[in-house]
Amino acid sequence: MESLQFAPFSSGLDAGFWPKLSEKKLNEYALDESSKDISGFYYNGDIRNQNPILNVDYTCFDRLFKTPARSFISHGVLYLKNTIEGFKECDKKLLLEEKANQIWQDIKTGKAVEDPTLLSRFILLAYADLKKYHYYYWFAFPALIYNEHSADNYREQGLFMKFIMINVKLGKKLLTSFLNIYKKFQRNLTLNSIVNKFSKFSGVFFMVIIAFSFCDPCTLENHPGWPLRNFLLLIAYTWADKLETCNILCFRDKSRDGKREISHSLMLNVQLPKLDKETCPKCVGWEKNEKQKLGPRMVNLSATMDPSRLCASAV
Amino acid sequence: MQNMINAVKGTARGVAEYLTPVLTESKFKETGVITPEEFVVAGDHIVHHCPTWQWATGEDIKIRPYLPPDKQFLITRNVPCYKRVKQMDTHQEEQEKVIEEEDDDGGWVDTHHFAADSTTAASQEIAEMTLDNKVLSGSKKKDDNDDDNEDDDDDAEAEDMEAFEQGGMLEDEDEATLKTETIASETEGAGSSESGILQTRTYDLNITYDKYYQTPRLWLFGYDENRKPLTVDELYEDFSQDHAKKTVTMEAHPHLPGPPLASVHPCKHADVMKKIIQTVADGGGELGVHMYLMIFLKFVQAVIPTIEYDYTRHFTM
Repeated sequence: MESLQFAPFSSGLDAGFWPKLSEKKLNEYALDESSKDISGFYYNGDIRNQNPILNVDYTCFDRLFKTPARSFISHGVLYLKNTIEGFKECDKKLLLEEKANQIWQDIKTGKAVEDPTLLSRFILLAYADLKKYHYYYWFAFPALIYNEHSADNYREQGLFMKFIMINVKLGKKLLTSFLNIYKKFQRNLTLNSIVNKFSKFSGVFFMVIIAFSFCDPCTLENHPGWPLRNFLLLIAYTWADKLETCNILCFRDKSRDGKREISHSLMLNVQLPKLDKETCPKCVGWEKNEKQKLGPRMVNLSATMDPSRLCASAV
Repeated sequence: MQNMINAVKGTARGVAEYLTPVLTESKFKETGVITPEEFVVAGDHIVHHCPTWQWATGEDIKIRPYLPPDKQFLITRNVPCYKRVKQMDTHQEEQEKVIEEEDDDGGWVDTHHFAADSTTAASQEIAEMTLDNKVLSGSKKKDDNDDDNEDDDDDAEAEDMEAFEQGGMLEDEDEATLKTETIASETEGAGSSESGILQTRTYDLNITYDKYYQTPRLWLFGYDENRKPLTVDELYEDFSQDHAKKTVTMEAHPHLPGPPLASVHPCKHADVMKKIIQTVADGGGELGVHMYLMIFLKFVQAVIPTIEYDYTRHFTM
């Protein structure tokens, strides 16, 4: 018995992001400080042991954002401040609480069952010093706390292989149907339709393991990734009356040298303590900086973006 | 100097590319170049076999008409790069000298040419270190890998980042949050790299179709251990020394916004491909055009030996 620990996201801003942001700031936003909707994505096919990365690239501003193949969307909001003071003094606690409340509402109204991507959200607080090409930023990946003191969660390693074995014995039918569902899920099948689909299997419930599954961007062998946190809360809120424990399949899907592998996926058996359904849980999620402190990060892109320096280095 | 030549060439090439007609006839076997259609075929093949590679569209205004809109170029993200080229083998780059540069194969490198001078190199290093220490004593102590070039000729002072840090007020310590740094140090002691988190450089790699050279072209964008973009000099640490600054150039990406990116200059690609096709043909085999990018990725590994991108190694030559 050990309490479950989740590997937090690391932010990954792509090369084109800051130039695009600068362009937007100059031509579109100007002095408008209101929040802007942006999109990020994560991938569950990483091969190495690194922090799971939430990528935000130059396409994040597109209204019709298209996630890259095999990636999963995270809904973000950008707060671009006009001054460094505004950036510094901005009430970060409030921003996080607002997001937490939004997620909580989506869980309560059942919207998140329809569209589980609503559980994955992020905040990007930024300030762009366009003259010096200095960019200050701070990410938050809101995660609602679900019984943080409960140590009743435990995991079973290696169960995933067993899971497959059982299914192979059952004639591969269920595994195939699972992989079909997964394939469709990549093409935006809703959780609700999956639940409906499962209820059709109710006749064979006693023979098989029913598992909630999510695409896990984490590759650590003992820890699931960050997206599970809000998902667990959703499960607890929606189905805890019927379930005391639930199986969670942390689905990982890597390819290397032409071979696809999913055996590093995790199977967890998590206890579902009762949840206070009235109040919105506390929320955590501000990203730590290089020194592992709660603080923003800064990038200096003058060497690559400042025209005068580019000129100088070209001669 | 090489940079300037490349810059001039780059501009001239932009004009030339505009004027070069799109290659329509397959000349893959005779010359090693490919048509945009063949690029798409080879790209589809690699996306199928190595799903870490994906097609991308890029900026809408930069879409090239001779390629399908959703298959403009290939991208693979967050590719780890654990070591610098210097660390990879025992050779010391300051002892290197390129000889016979005019040779067809691009010259030879004498790896111990300046070996006798190693003592002076060492004393120079010491001098540099003391200098560095002075620079660093003002700021915080920095990681060895952390090149401070970016700050060197920076007239604009950055804000003091510590002033931004929040105390315990912002968030309570959360027990369910995995502390990644403890995991990393624990496993270091145990000697197993399998379960720990490794802080490492990562790269985003792109393959575009170069209309002028009629070959694929590899673009790289690197990030340090803390996901900060690498400076040009830091980038060069991940290129093999006989290629850095020569075959690797900084140019504007054909599909992406923003500053110039590093790319492996494609001027020799067709020749190399032709040679490989020839070798295979001599051995009685035949190389389908769909294999083009697999082979391409294999040979660019000579330029970026420490970046661990995926390509299927198993093909018969």
